[in-house]
Amino acid sequence: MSGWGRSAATIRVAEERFRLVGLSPAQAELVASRYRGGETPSKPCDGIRSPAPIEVLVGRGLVPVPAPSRFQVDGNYVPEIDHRSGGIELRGHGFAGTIELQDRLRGSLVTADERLTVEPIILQNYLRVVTAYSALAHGGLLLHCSAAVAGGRAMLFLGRSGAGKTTVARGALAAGAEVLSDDMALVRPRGEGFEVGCVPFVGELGETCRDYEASYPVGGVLWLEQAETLRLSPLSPARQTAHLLSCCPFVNHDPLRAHALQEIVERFLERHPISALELRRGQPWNEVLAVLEAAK
Amino acid sequence: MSAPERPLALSPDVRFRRVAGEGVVVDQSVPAVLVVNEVGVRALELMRAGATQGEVVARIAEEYAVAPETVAADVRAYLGELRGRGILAPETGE
Repeated sequence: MSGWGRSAATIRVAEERFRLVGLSPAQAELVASRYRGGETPSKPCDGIRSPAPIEVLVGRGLVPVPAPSRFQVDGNYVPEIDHRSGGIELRGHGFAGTIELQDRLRGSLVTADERLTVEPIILQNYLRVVTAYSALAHGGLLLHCSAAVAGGRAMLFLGRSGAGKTTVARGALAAGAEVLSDDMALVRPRGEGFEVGCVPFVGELGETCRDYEASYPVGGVLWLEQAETLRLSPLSPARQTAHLLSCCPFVNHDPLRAHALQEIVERFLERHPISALELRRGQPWNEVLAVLEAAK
Repeated sequence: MSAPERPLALSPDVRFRRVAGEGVVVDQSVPAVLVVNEVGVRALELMRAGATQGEVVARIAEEYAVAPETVAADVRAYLGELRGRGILAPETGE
């Protein structure tokens, strides 16, 4: 595979860094202008040396460009993935890629359009999958959720499509709270529990994260349900497991890593059980916080 | 003479496990995740072990001390739902 050029760029995703090589100068410039990179994190991870970046070789090649609708599942864009013991192969709108999952995680991305390569429809959709697998390899999860900070802790809001994840995030944002994302957040093990970091994959609200290096201990995990009355209620362990699994994109398809995912889900739920939060659309953030606070 | 019953076959993409008395079923081809009750997960365990519909009915009736005719109707409905969700392979001839 030949690259688009000899330039490189780095993208920071929480504590992870993706080193894109084989870029043309124009692609590298666009990546650098859109994403935060850096060679070393300014904040060390509990004294542990930052891992080497995940190298992604970006190259040019003939890639079929089927209609985007081919990759739509329940209104979400989902690339086609073939699972192998050593890694995965994926195909999306305008790209094909691989992710090697052996000793060191690395990947390749093949596209046919120089400019489109670094647009979200290709680059972000590829990196979402890499991030999900990288998180799994580190005992963490890339979650499809919205996340906001309250009292120095991250509140994660999970739910079916249309349950109100973005609406809650919008309300938090309007109330001046820090919103980490209205689409995806990265949870990684830290000490006895898990912490939440931002990912540069934007949802409907665009980029809301203020600090991509910051991470917040999990303060609560809520499964959103639409209802007239604001109410917090417990969920059975099986429902918690099912809800969390349903919010682990890409890796929850993978039959070869189902056991690893299950173990992480169990560890996460031991520390951070999920409650059901019934709320009405547009419920003010301060009312949501009040019901969560009252339940402590 | 009626043909012998065939074992019920779960889709190869389906995985399930017990979690605190209930079952979590994952169809990785979608992916879709659902929760089934204790009897539902027991039926899945029997299917995984190669049971036929009749054997599932008999074992559930015995283990839960319920009349077989009552269990038969519930199992039939349950299997229909599982087939509808692609969790259970279609009956032969469908």
